[in-house]
Amino acid sequence: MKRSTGSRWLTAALGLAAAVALGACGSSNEGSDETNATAADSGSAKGGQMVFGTFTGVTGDYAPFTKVAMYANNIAIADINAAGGVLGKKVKLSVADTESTAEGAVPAFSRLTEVDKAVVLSAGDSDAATAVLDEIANKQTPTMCPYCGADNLTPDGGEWLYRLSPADSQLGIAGAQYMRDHNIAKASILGQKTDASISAVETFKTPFTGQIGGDVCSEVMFDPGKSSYQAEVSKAFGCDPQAVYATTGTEAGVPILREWARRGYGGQWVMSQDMLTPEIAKATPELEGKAFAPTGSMDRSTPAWDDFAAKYKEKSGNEPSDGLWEAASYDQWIALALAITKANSTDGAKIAAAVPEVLNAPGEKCYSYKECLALLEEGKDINYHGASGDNDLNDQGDLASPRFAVTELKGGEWVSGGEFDLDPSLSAQ
Amino acid sequence: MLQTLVFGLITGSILAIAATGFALIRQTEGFLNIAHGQFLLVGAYLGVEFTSKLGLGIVLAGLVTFVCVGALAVLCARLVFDPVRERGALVLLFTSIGLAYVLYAGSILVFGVDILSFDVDFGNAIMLGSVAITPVEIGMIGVFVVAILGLMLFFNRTRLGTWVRATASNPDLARVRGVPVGVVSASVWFVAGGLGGVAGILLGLNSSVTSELGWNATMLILAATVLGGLGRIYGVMAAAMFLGLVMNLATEVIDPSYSTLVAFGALIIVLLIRPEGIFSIERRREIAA
Repeated sequence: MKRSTGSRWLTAALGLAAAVALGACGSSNEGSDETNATAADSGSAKGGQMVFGTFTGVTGDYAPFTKVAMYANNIAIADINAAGGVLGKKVKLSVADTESTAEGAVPAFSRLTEVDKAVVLSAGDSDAATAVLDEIANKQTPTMCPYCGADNLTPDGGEWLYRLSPADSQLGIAGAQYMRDHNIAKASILGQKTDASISAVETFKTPFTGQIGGDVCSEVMFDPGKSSYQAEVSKAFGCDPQAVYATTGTEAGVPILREWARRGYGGQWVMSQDMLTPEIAKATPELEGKAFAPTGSMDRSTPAWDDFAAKYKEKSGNEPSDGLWEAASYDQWIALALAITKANSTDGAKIAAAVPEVLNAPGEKCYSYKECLALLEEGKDINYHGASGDNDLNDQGDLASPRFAVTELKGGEWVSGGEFDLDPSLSAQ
Repeated sequence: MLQTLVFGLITGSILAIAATGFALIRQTEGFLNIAHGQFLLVGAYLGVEFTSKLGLGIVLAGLVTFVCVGALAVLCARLVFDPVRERGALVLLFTSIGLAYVLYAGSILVFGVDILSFDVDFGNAIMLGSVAITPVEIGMIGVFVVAILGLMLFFNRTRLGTWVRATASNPDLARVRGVPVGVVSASVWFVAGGLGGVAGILLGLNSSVTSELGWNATMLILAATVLGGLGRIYGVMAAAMFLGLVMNLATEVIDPSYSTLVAFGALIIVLLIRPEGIFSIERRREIAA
């Protein structure tokens, strides 16, 4: 039977739809190539150099975080090399783009470990870390995550993953606590369907509707990458909430918040830390006085902060912030370099065992790689107090005593307000 | 519900403008130009540049972008597609996929990977009963109406439009009858690319501008084109509007994250019933015969 021209084209078109879908996924390779240029600037695992690797969202939702983190990363690597490197070798940083997706994290991780032979790694976000948890364990590669929040990383991260930010369960409690303290009893939820956001939503809802007795009048979860979020925003504000708890990235956050501003929905936002980006601040000045984000905060009272902040300002032109975790990005490399030195080995298991040893008490407090390295070379135990804080780790590789503050938009920039402690009565369940 | 209907009209209008350019190429050049989505991306980036760096008004920026992306499309046609034109539609199709990646990577190289947004004041929302709509959103729907009317006038009232229809119907016969096929081709590429560029601006206005904008739009453009009947320009416009409405109205009754699924579900159902697309005239011709 002769097929019509239309049918042939239809078959081709449908086949093509699949090809385009694959193409979109495959674009992670393009993205990786893009970041390879960055990586190439930093070199590869050759000539007696030691490679540190980071798989992170150079493109996509986490690009704003990566952009500022790279300033911090490069400052850390420069500081390490200025002090003589690690085990006598200069350190080079290799970067692989995850496109801010879990599926993009897998080839990025493989490239860093198999091609670049990275000794230690940094994961750019929870989705990326979660995607390669098994591989991290299989390859026994110590991995730091400066701003991962997903709760599953605590039990699943095992002995190989450490994070230098609060877990989502803590940030969710912080969000619920903020609402309680500001008499917000009726809220809606607007979150994107990614592991990190789902985790944040769940950990907010539990104390808010449980111990606090708040009412979640609408819960709108959406897929990122849409051409419009008008219906989603309308639905979130449709039940007339006092506040909307929002957890998404910059890509969806910008249109969502612009839609809120232009249609005059009113109310206020309690946002996740993923939304504290310069892009959102710039796109939606209307958030001033209307958006609050209980998030982790940095210890600004130490020489480590002063030194890092000055270098960061010189490189980027901006002050480091709480919401973008620049200081934690810096600390992760210093901690890993010190752990390698302490272990006197590039063996993953030995480095992993040394990470808590250089970060936790007892040990002599030190505030820079150079200072800590000198102590290690004298055979002393150290307790690195970094630019972001003391970074003491608990048995599960999480921060033992994370700090919290409310960040809000002031004068076009995200500014941290007063610090606060988590209410233990909300943490009990 | 009425408010959601308006959201659907806005989404549908943008999608229709994007899909029209795609359908024009399919109808006259005879292949599916997958690089069309990247014309949207280039248009969106240019729009941001023109408005934020050159300080152009959004209307003027749209017109300049139309010309720039239209010219880019003509350039792509001459440099990339013309040399392989004789090898058939499938080669052209896969060439267009390659071109899409080139434009995508080129855009990242030139414009970076930052998430951008248009610094355009949408104006205060106008209340029409329970429906709130901003002047810029009315403008978005207006662009769609102008595009329809413009294309109708172009096809029916101009000599070039007649040539385009003749070439689309039977290129060999058109050539024999003295139709300047080269001029027709360049014109179609220019209009298609220009419409893509404008659609990119509208998408960016309604959402944000990211390096993935083109890829995200391509799936919906393909869906609208298949649904409307491949190459049927008015059918594609109607299908795009249908998809926009369905995706938004679905959020009234189901989880918004499934709205795209509903649209594509509708697409599958329609194609099972009418494989040639809702608005294809092929079936009508067969019935008439």
